[in-house]
Amino acid sequence: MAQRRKKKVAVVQCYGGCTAKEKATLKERRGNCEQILAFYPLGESDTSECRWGCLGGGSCVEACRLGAVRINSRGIAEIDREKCVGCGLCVKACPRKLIRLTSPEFNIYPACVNEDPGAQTRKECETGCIACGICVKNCPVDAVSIQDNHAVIDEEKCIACGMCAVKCPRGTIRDYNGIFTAREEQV
Amino acid sequence: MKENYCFMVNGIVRSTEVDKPLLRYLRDDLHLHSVKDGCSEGACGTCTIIVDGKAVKSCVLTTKLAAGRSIITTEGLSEAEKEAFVYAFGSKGSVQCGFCIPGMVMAGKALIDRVPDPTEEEIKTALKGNICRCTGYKKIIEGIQLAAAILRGDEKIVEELEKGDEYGVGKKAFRLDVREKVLGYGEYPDDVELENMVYASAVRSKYPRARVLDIHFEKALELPGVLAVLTAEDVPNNKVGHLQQDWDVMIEKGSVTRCVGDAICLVVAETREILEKAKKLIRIDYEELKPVTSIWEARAEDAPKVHSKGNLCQSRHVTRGDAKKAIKESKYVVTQEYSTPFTEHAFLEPECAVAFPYKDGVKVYSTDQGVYDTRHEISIMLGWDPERIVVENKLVGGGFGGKEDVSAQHIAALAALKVNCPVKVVFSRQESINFHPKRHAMEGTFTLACDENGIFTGLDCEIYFDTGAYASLCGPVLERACTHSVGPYCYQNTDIRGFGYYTNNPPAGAFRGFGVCQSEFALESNINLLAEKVGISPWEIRYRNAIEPGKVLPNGQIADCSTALKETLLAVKDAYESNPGRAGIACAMKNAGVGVGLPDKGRAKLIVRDGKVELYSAASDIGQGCATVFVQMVAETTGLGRDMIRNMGANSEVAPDSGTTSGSRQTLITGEAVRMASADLDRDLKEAGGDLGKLEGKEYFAEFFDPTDKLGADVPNPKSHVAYGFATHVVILDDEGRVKEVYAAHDSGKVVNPVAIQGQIEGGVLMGLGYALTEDFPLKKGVPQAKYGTLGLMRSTQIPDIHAIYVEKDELLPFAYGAKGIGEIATIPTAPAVQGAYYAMDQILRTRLPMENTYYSKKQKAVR
Repeated sequence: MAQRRKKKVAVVQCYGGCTAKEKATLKERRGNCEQILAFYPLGESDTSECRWGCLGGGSCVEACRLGAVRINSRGIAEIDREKCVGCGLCVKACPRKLIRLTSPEFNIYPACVNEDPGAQTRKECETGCIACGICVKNCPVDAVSIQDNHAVIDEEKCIACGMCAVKCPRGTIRDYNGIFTAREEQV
Repeated sequence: MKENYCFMVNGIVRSTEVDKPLLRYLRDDLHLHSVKDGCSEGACGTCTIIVDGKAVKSCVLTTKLAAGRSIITTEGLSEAEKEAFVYAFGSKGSVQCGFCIPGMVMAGKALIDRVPDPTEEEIKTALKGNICRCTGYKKIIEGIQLAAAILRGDEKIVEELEKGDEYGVGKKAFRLDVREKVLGYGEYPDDVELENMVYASAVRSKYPRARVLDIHFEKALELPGVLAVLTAEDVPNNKVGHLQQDWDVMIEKGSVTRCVGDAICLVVAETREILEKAKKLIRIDYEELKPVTSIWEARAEDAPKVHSKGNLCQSRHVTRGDAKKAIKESKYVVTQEYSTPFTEHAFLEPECAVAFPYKDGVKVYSTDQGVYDTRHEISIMLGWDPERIVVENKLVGGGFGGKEDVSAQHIAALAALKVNCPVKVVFSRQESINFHPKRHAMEGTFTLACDENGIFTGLDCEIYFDTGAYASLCGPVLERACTHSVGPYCYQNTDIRGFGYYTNNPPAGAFRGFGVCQSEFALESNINLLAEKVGISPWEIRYRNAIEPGKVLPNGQIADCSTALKETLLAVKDAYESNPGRAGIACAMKNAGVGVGLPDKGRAKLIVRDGKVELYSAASDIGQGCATVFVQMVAETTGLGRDMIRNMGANSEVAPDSGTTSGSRQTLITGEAVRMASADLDRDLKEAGGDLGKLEGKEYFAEFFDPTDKLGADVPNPKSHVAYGFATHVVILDDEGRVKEVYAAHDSGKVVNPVAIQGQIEGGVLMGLGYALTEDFPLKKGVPQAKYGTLGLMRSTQIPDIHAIYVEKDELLPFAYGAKGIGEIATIPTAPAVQGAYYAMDQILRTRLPMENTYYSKKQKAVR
């Protein structure tokens, strides 16, 4: 029996719930992520926009040679795992380091890397991780932990049961298969 | 207006207004019992179903989240799929206790639908979320590969195999219970539904050691649907226990609890939901006391007494020759301390029982290792004549020793008699972990000596067992630890002292290996150290000392003609020697049969009825396959095919007592009784010209008993046990320290079922690997800290290549066609072999289990 190579796929760790983004001038934005960052320097500015999430500028879309990445209706990058081969070009292209590679069997992932305290995140984003720890408590295999104010899944231990995604009160932890949580295009 | 959740289940549109775990909806509302409840935590995978093409755990998904989706359970497979999986799993030996199997089938189907020709790696990945505690996964992976091939049209179903016209000893017999277990219609107690059935559950202690000051249950009683709350006052005799009756059914007001598994009161309610609510309304006032949490604390002079007679539960002194003198005069001596942990059985099916008033007493549907044992314990509790209690085993979803004591059965009986209707008691997974006896934790000091040629001269050891809150089987387990600490060799000077102490930890009792896993780990490690001193290889020192027919074991028993330890050593010699610095080796022996002078009897009755042979023998098949083995014995003796023989199961009302499924005894002890009864039937059958119809209504009963000598019997060569099985395991590591291969060579006498024995060996080896490397049972002041998912059970993606080898000699014992047991021994030599392999690799002696500083422990740490 032929051994197939174990495939890797990219996953975007943001679900685009930033409340400021709608208020801000999404439509006025031009160019890719680097250009957006140049025009709207965040972080030290007084804007309340999340400093961690997807900019929606599509640098990853540009980088992908297989058309596996698109900017969805929530204004964030989304990967098509059927097309993705896990080359990692989008990972390099993302200025916010939001994209990582994983194995396809890990369909459950926390879609947030926000390092701000929970209270601030709650103000800034509808779906951002507030580090409440409900996922940690409910994980049957102790695979979830809170690191830098957001949930992190240890894939050495994770069995992708989906318990954390079901229990997450914020909808931060997503199921790529769209069963435990709805997928964007299904909404 | 309430929301309506609508979805498709097996092609039928269903809807519900209740938002609850889909597992509960499928089982309770739709009665789809193939969807098993193994943990309800997302950890075990027994409830796996397919949702929109993906394998999903139904305990995690809710009816609300399932809205609009299409769901398939095993019941909803196509006919072709059903037949493919039944045949594939049956012919490959994928099924043992069967509790994980429907979940495995669904995980397999989801993969096959996506990838029609899956690789081994892909199957392992697909099964990662599904625990199997019996098989070691290998046979399940092979089963899924074959099912895929059949569904692709590359392989064909051979119908004769399941039909079983050729079903005798040594034949590739298709297990009796494959079909019902694969398709999920076989009944475990939790699948039983009776009219007017209600539910009961115990409120258990919050603290391992606390005085129960008061129990407030008035509010619970007021809740509509609550039928009764029972306390110790409602129990006729508040003590049960397998051998020693020291286990309180419930802790009475004013008394002190002994572990967190202790029941304080028992609530009976109309539904599961009301029961859960009622339990939360019960308030118990405690005076928390400092618990006794270790052997050393229990031994302290001022230690609180866990039981009134003191903390020493059992002790044994096994001695022969003059160990002190022999060791003193020996050229090489090794003394080393060892420590092994509690181990949780983690059988996939949590304890469950259904009891109901029956005739002039009570009947219990049980999942246990001996229906007569359960009957005995209930009769003690009720103060009744045992005959008034009937215990019938349903399918048993794994036991491994953990279902020898009563758990749910006695409280179900108590509740049923109180409310006068059928009562189901089912343990939650955490309740199961907190309640049932574990493998004993051991602290021991072992001294082994040898001469200049590496020939063993004497053994001195002191073994301390933590038996937790109750005795359970502490006596015999400690005794086996002592008697088997000598190993399968032939020196004659031993001095072995064993002590079992009560503590406030969860109780410890029987677990596959029965004390021998602990003591042989220590012994085999010492042997490696002696080999180093002598300057010979670990293989060589074992071969030089190995027992052989006619030689005398360290306990004085003369090894019988079937003894084949040397053959097992030779079978793995190449594997061991071709992997220098990466291989470890260990031997083991394990008794088959209870032995030591006890009346260990096998009984069987055959009745010819409706033109078929009905086999009655109350011997629990806990997944190891003895029910099939017995039918094979009948087939071998009479020449009848499988379809002419029916095994009527373990039911104390109709089947004679054939002892506990313990001590690797069923194949040999009950097997011989079955063979004897079959021989009588065969004689009549021959007289009748082979026409079974002429024997209609005839009965054939047989009892087998081969006497043994009790421990310390004053005879030159006491016979401790009817038989011993022998084994040698070789474990090979890769350069990173991962277990790459295991060669497991076994002498179990005549092999009755070649597929089943491989499954027993592979499963035993994987359990042994877990014991060595990943499984632990951490306690914090007597309270278990592990959940099912964090016990460290090996998953499909972690398994090495396990080679199950059995050596069959021509010289065999005159019982049961020469078969000896395989049940326990397969777990014993694995851990010391792993330890030896690590020692060969880095010269670090690891004396604690699970071993520290290994590939596996580093993985655990790195992620923390």
